[in-house]
Amino acid sequence: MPATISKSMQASQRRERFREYMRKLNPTAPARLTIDSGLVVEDLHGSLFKTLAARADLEPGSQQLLVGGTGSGKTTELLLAEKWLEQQGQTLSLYIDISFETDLSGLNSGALLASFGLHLAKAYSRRGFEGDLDAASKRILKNARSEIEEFARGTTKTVWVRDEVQEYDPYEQYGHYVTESVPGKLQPIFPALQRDIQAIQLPLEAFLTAVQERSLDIVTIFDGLDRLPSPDRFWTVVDQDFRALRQMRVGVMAAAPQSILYGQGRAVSEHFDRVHQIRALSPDPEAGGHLKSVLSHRSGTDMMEQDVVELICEGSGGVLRDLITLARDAGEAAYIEGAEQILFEHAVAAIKQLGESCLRGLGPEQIGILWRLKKERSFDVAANPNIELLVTGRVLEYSATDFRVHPALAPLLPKPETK
Amino acid sequence: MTDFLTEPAFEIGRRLDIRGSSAWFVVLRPAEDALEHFVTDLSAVLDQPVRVVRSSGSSFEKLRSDLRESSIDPVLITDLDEADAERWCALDVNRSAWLREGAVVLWLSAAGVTNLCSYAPNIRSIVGGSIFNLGTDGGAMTAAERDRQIADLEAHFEMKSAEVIRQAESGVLPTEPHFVEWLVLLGRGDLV
Repeated sequence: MPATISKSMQASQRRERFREYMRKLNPTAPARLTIDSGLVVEDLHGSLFKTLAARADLEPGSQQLLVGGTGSGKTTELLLAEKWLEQQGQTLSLYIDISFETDLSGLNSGALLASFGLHLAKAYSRRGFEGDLDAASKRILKNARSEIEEFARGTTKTVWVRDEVQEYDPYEQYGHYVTESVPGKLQPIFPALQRDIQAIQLPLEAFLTAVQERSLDIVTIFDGLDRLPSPDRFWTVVDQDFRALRQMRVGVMAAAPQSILYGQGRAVSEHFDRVHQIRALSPDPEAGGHLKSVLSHRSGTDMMEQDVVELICEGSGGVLRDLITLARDAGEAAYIEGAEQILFEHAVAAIKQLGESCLRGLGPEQIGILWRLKKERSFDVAANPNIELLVTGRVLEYSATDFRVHPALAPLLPKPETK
Repeated sequence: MTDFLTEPAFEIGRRLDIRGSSAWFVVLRPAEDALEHFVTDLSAVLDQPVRVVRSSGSSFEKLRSDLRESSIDPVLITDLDEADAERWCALDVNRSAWLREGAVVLWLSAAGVTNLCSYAPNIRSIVGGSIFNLGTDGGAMTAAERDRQIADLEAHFEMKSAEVIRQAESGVLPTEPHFVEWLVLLGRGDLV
């Protein structure tokens, strides 16, 4: 029996060790939690978040976009920018992940303003700003809050409808009640009218004025818009709302679809003061060791030898989420096999699984494009099918002239069928 | 579709267990109906019920509220094979809304995985390489594999299976996942 207990304790300790490793290398953990846990390497992209935040700080009402591939670290940079602005003490910054609030697939004009208004009113209360207002100001803000909530959530009221009758009796009531609903901007999706946008500016101005009277600028950060499927769709959603925010001198930072950088999408990016791009980090060890620093900062390198670290960095292609995913998956494979350390074969298995998921769903045309890129380094970034491969992470961009097939996918690519 | 690793239900359960919070998996279902068996085995290994959630016919709001009904239990979404390209795109752009502390497992056919990888790049990115074939025998191992695994556990813990059952019946068996797995392998998931 003592032997059993001892073995059981060993198993429990081993499990705890791997659990701790998994906790630190969790690619799907909320980004805010990861930042607060001190697991983020802040200067990874040249402290891009400071560039974003400083521009917003120095140029109130500026509008900046952040663009990058899936899993490149955009949310982390936006949250770090929010944190930096808060630390300066001159800005009220509002981070909004819009797909937490509403159905992004049906989003239309007005929804961003609605969400901004709700967050602004909530932040104003949460900070206790209402405490030192006089009664008249409180009343104004209370009314403004109601208008914003109606704009966002919609309204429902019951109205009396008179029935048509042949013979009218003044002592009878001819009619019935019907429920009329005015849809809000955050749930059922209906096309918004320009006049709606103008109407909501008044209650928003009430809050903005109250905040600005405290010598605070306002910056709103919209995350999640990068997942909109095309530059056109993105523009449809943001055009009127961002214009209204600019009029109100509210600074904007937003994640945008990567496709606005290429081909016809570039016309959209010209509407903004600055477009920042996060590219894949170079997996080459001589390029600064950024990827390795991500793993070591999360204690990931404690459980693997140098060659395994390098293999994982290389297999990730410099995509942050893929890097953390591979480290976690390799650790998981080691745990399942009963190993004490993460070995080369565990990393190989993790990279192969990731490559398989990249390969799945590719058609002959896409495989042909990827094959040409792999063999001939030929890639036309303006062509729509190629943009699609960039957006879906099968092709990674390291510089304006350096595009490569994701290294987890490259060895699995089948030779294209010849016609 | 055999290019992805094949894992029995309890191994998938162990992977979920060691990952902790916010885990996402895709399980490639076998041709025959194995869902009930899978849910039972997974629930046993995780030591908590796996909640089955359906997506088709649900509004965005309904699915979101189903996932958040409890944010920590493991959920299995079982009908995404019915999702067409438009539905996958809608699920994909709203990816943040599906993120939760508890595990999310997508139960898909080979065609369903292809659709996910074709039309939902954001979901594919968070799933990463966590796509596993479930054994074609409905989640259980072959008899030989099961016997070998039981022998490995007996050797590792220096304990006979009969003793494991006796301790479980007496309520003194440690709740560590290896022992849960052991009981499942012995066909005594009822003692978990």
